[in-house]
Amino acid sequence: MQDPRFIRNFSIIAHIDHGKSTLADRLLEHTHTVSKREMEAQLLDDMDLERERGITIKARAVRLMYQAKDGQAYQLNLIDTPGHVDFSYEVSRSLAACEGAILVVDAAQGVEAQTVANVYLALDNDLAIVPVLNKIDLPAAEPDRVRREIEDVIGLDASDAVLASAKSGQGTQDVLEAVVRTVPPPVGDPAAPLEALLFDSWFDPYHGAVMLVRVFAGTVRPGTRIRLMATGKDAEVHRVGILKPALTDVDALGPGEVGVVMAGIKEVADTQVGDTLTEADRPAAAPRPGFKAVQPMVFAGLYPAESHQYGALRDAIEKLKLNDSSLSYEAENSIALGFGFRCGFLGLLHMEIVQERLEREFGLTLITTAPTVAYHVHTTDGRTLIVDSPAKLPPEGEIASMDEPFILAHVHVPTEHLGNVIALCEEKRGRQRELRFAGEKRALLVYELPLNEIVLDFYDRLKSASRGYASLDYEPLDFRASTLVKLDVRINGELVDALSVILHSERAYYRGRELTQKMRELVPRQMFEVVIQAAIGSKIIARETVKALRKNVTAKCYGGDITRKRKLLERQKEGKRRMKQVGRVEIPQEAFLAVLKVGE
Amino acid sequence: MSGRFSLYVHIPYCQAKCSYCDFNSYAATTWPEDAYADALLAELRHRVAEPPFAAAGVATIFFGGGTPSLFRPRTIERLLTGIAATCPVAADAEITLEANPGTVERARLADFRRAGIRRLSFGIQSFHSDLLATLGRLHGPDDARAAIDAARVAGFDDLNLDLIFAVPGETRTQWEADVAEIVRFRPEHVSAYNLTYEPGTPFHTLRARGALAPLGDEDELWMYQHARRALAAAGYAHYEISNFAQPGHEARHNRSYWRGVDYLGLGAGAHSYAHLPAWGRRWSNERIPERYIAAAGRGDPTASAETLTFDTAAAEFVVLGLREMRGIEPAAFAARFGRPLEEIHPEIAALRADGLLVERAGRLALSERGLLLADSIFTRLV
Repeated sequence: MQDPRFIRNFSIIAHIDHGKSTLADRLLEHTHTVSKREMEAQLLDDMDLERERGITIKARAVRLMYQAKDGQAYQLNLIDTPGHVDFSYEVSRSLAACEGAILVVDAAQGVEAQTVANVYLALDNDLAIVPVLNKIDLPAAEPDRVRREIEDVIGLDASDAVLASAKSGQGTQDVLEAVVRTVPPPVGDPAAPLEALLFDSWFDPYHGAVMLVRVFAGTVRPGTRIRLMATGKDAEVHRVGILKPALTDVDALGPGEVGVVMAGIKEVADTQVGDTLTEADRPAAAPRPGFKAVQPMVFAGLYPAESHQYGALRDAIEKLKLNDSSLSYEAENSIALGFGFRCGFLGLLHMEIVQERLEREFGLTLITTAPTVAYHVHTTDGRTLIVDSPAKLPPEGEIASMDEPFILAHVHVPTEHLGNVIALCEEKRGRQRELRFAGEKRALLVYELPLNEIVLDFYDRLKSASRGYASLDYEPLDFRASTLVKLDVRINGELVDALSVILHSERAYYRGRELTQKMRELVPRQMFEVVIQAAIGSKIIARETVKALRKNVTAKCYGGDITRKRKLLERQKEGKRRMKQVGRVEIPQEAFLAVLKVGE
Repeated sequence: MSGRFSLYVHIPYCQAKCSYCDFNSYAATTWPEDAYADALLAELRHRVAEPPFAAAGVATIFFGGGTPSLFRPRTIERLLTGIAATCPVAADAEITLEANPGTVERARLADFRRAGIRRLSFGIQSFHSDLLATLGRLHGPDDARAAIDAARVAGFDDLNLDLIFAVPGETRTQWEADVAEIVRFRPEHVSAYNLTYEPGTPFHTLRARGALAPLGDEDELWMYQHARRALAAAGYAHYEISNFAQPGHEARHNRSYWRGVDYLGLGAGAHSYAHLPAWGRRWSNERIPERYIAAAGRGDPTASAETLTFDTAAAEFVVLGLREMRGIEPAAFAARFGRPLEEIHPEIAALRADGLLVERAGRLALSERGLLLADSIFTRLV
């Protein structure tokens, strides 16, 4: 255990490509935490997926020992944060484990939108900010301009920002010195009842749930009987360690320290991010503030493209679930797509990540239905149902009223795009709560918005409305009464259940037209006419026709053509086999995927 | 398959490569004619040493290309003599030569006949100079007319004329005129091909780039149906998807491809089929002429081979057989494969129910509507 006066806990905030991972690598190297040879570039992001997307999904922490110029050895805990709105709660918990944050800004490109929201989050958590101008060695670097920008846009004093090049290693020591100087040391009584914030957990096949914690008060050591205050779970600690970055056992973790705790807990669901570890026999008076139970907000059907992969899909989802307690799933059956799963996600990115991991790590090919949110449906006989799938919506006659979830959205946007973004929020049935200006160039818009509009295409629209400069961050608000309808798609009269969506009545006509037009482009001509209709109940609101194939015949087939033609036919047959059958109509998988991309 | 086979001889040279052509052919001004002919005969001797060609008789011979009429009649004669010396050729064998209606070839027609050619097949394609130019043909409409007359003068009484329709820019009126003119020449046989855009051809590339606008479905359909109507009215039986003949003049050689008769293909890139061993075998030769010549000289010019499985053989039986208007005989299928047709191809029931396949005189055939959607049907039968 280290004297808290010589501990610094911090994270790094940066826009993608501004050099967060490279800087982290330099800090690890400079402190001899890892050698250069061990440095598989971008050590902190350990999943391929994250590397490719340039985001960090799971928080990690690594301990660095730094011999500062004042002659003192410091324990530096670098806590990595996930970088997307779906994980804003996880980000806030990671930041809550820190006293400071390094703000990395590209000295050539300046402040980018994505950074700003996280800086505000850091400021909300009272973190000390260490500004670093990175890529200072680039010819295009303009440190003075970018310094002013940090002051204007974020409202942060950047006069003593560190100039660095994470690539060349220039300024690395200055960064470490600035952290020691600027970030305040933690305080806490090692003899007090244990109070440790759980800010990440993952499943290990040998140890069960591994908890990454920051101790605020008290001491945790092997043998401590702990209690997780939110879930009420008690367990005995059998191992305590730190990550540097390999797991290293320690005798104890004291106030201010960051490390992992293993207590033989089998389910990661029992180790929720934001929970507080205390002692079972001597609990703290109150848990650390800010805990929220994470709940799925977005739901979609996941189906194997080929029905024989159903078992493999189930196994794969179960495996992902071991490490991802925010993922929920239940079996679902679609007329068009067969057997699959209704899955719940934190948000759209979470959904995309799960989808990609299933496809990449488990070799599955999936069809995903349009994402939806959970509605509260009040029936005429006085019950309230939670409906997370259009298929579960009771018949029109049994519905008395419906409520839809609203969120509180914080949109940071440069003032030049403010008009566009306000127009978008209004179009999306939003209600403005607040408009605040930060400096001359930046505004913060606070809107109440229906979540189903966000799920539809809000990200893409926001991106184009602000040329990528707006950032979105949201939290669930409440449920509100709304006039919602179920929009169905019928193909030659048959309902394609996988294409149904629940949406606001004012949206239905437009969406119906778009959907049928898109389908017309994607459904290949068949031997008979195909009629595609959009309907609300029994009322048809849009109709498109795919004309029957009139002629499809190969003119020539002689001796030299036979093998080639047969193989061509076999390939076509293979293509047909992968299509989904609705009645007698064959629908390519792309049709199910493309309806997700219906934009306005 | 009663000890008879068809012999195909591929001559891979052309004066120019047509923009739609995906055959194994090479534009050339000179070619190693004697060496190539030697290679063909060497390959023949190699192939007939083994079953099913050993001791079997040749029912038909077809010189295809490329442009076989570029070869000297003397070379053709040497080949026919060489073939007859290697394996028995039936007295009534159909012996066809593909020819271009160009001037050079026209002058040689009588000599080809003397060399032993009994049937000529001309690539007329169109009687419209604009369409011939689009297709990249070197001959003009009058060359075509002169060639047909010359063939008759030379004594050919078995003539096939090829036509192509749905050429970019072609009008229905132009096609009507082409069909009408063909009929006036009274050829024994007519092939009318809907233009296709084959991968690897300039036409395919141009279409993909949008530089070539294919005719619409409706025009293609109309032209096909017009050809069927007009040729039927003139006494030509429509016996295969693209083939029409006066009674008794169906192309026997080509028919063997659709009926699963053994055929031996000699020459660069030529394909062969043998119904033995097991479910049959298909192979093809080295495509590049020089490499073919060298390989044939060494013994075996085979480049790739495929042994058919029960499934592929059963699929071929059906999709090839259905190309002929008379269709397939379920009993013949059962005899070859040991199980009933509809058991191996359960889709047939649905296709019949939809009126795409019909039963006609104890045979199963494409219906009128099925004919137009043959490929969609075949996809369900492989």
